Amino acid sequence: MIFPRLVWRAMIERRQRIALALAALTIAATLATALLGLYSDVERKLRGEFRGYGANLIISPVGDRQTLPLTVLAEAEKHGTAAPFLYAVQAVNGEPVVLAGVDFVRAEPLTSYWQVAGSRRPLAAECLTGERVAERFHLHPGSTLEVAGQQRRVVGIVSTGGAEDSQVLIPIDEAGLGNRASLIAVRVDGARVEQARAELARALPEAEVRVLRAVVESEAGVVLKIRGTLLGLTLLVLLIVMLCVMNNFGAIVYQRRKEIGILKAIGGSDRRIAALFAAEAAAVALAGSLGGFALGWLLARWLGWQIFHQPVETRWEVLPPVAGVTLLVALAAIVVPLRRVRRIEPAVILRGE
Amino acid sequence: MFVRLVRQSLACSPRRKLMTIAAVALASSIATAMLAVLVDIGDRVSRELRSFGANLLVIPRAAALPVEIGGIDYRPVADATFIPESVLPKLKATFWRHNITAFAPFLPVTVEAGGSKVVVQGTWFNRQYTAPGNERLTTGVRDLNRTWKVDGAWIDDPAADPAAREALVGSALAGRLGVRPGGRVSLWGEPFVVRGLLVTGGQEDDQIFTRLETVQHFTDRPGQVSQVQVGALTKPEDAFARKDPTQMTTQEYDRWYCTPYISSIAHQIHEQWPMAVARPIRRVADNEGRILNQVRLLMLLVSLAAMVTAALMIWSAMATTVLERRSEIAVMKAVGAQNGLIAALFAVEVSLQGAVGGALGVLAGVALARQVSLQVFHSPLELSPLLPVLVILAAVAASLAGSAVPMRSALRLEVAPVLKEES
Repeated sequence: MIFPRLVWRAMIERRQRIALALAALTIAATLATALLGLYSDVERKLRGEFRGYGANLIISPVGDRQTLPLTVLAEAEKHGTAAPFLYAVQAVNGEPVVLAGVDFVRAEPLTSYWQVAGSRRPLAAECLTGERVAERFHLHPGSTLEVAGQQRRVVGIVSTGGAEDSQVLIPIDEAGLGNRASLIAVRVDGARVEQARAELARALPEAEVRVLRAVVESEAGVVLKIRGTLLGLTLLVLLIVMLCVMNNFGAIVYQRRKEIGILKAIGGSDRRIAALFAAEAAAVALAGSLGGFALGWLLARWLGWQIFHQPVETRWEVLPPVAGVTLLVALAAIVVPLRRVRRIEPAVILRGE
Repeated sequence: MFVRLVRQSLACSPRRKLMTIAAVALASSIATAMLAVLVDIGDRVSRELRSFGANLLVIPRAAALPVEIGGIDYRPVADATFIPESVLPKLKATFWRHNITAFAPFLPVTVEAGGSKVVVQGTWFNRQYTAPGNERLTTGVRDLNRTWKVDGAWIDDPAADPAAREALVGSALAGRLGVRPGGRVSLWGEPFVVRGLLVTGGQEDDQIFTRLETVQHFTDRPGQVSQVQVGALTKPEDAFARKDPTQMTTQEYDRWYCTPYISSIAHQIHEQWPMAVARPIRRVADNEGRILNQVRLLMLLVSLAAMVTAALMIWSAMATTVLERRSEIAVMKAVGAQNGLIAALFAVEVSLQGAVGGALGVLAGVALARQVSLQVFHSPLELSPLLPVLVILAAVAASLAGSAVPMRSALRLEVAPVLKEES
């Protein structure tokens, strides 16, 4: 049982140097864990951010038909968030204005970019009006408006810069066409838009399903590019850190020529000396990778909180590769210097040359 | 004497020094690559997001309420207020002209085609115009909506040509009319050549696009457009940007005016075109800002983590070096050198190694960052001249910091035991 004791003694005797090597390896493992953890999560997190753009699929009636039955909605909701919209031109205070029937509860996640002064959810006999409608009729939250011969209270003013600015929005069940919709807006996961489109088109032959290319493409552009940059930088950093650790570790072996000389002088074989160093390196690498994994996990969590306001999940599957790579790096680091062990002449070294 | 000491100390055991320099160089190259990518990631993402389309819509100030469903106008009489086409180049006279990346005028009209009502939009595709200052520039829908796809060919309209009869037909409409690229479609009783089919997924798929001057000719509205869509690079809105400009103090107003917020660019467009108002398209403008902030923060924090690591790497490499040279320090002390002199000698040596390593690291880091940039964004990297200076200074500082602690403990050691242990 002399071998473990030898390793242990060697490490204790040189604790300062071992501590430095351990620090270097721990840092490397920390960074590897944190960056890999972040990288594996970044696509999902970034795609989540793009939810704010609203719908990325539009289902509309095909041919001469003007509306869709609401049964289409149930089909669309299997793939993501969906909301029906119904449009008609109606007399508002005696002028023709586009009246939009909206399912406000369902539409809320799709319309987070609407700026609404007042309430977002009109109830029966209430309505929202677009900014331009409000300007035209001098409306503000609380005023009343005659819509299609019926008095409605304005509860909010919508500003979007889009078509909603010149519409009056009322609950869809009061829009008077029963269970029909002019179009259904759907938000599906950005990574499977095409698949969802194909499945919906197959399930709904009476409707046309379109992909909003602007939403889908700018999302894909940004997400893939950020992921690519992060991957490139992660690999780069890991490579450099690896080289750095190897350099550090190699220096330590190089400095211990004298010790190696003594071991040889008292009859240690090359192989046994190499095993001694390898065991030492492995012990340090193991400790470093465990410590680094814990620190890296904390770092990734913290980064996740700071950036996306939600934690990055613990990825245990990152641990074996991190530990494995750390071990490999440590072992690789001592290979080159150890090759010189064979060439060390105890007499020359011990004389101090 | 001191210089000679430094020179000799540097000349002996070059292998060890090379290793230290290599460590510093590797660590500095991380820092350089990270910083180089970080500096313009915001710009790049922002340009990427601009492919979404316009984030400002400019309409005549007195425009009546549009009554449109899916782009088709249901008003009994058409709008009578317009923006003159001749003022368009003035967009490039606003304070933030360089942030306005693209714009396109539109003149829509509803006509009969194939037995149903169809919207025909007159617009610029890639029109050349002369900006104030006699600059020849090109812009139009191709620049503004880079995600629009065309089956066939785009319309090419560098200069106005009232005699041209060509059209892009929305893909859904083309399916209903049964036209293909190269075919003909009849508008205003004249045959138009269909150059291509437009695929956007939006209401454009049910519309026809043609040259602006063609629509102006057939609707008898020479030199008029009814809206202009503008794509501008903006700074994400913060609490300050949401303040009412009319309630601001003079300093606040100046700050607001000189920041490319979407609201201040809208205000400056109105200054140039008093007959029009610019409205932010919230869906684009708000989300763009939010995502941009997120991406910036992501890259900033990742870079910080990497740079702290780089500093620690340098620190540990230097600490190792000094640790290995305790006997040297002991010898110097034995022959009577003052602590201050030894410290100064080591400080100079360490700084030199840090500087050389840092410089090599900058070279390698720039090359690496350039590779990442080319691979991911297919465009080269823009570098600030300040970056190398910063990285080298940081490398020297980290080197000095790393050597300080072991140096102090080495100077405090008794000479005799160290020398005995090492010999």
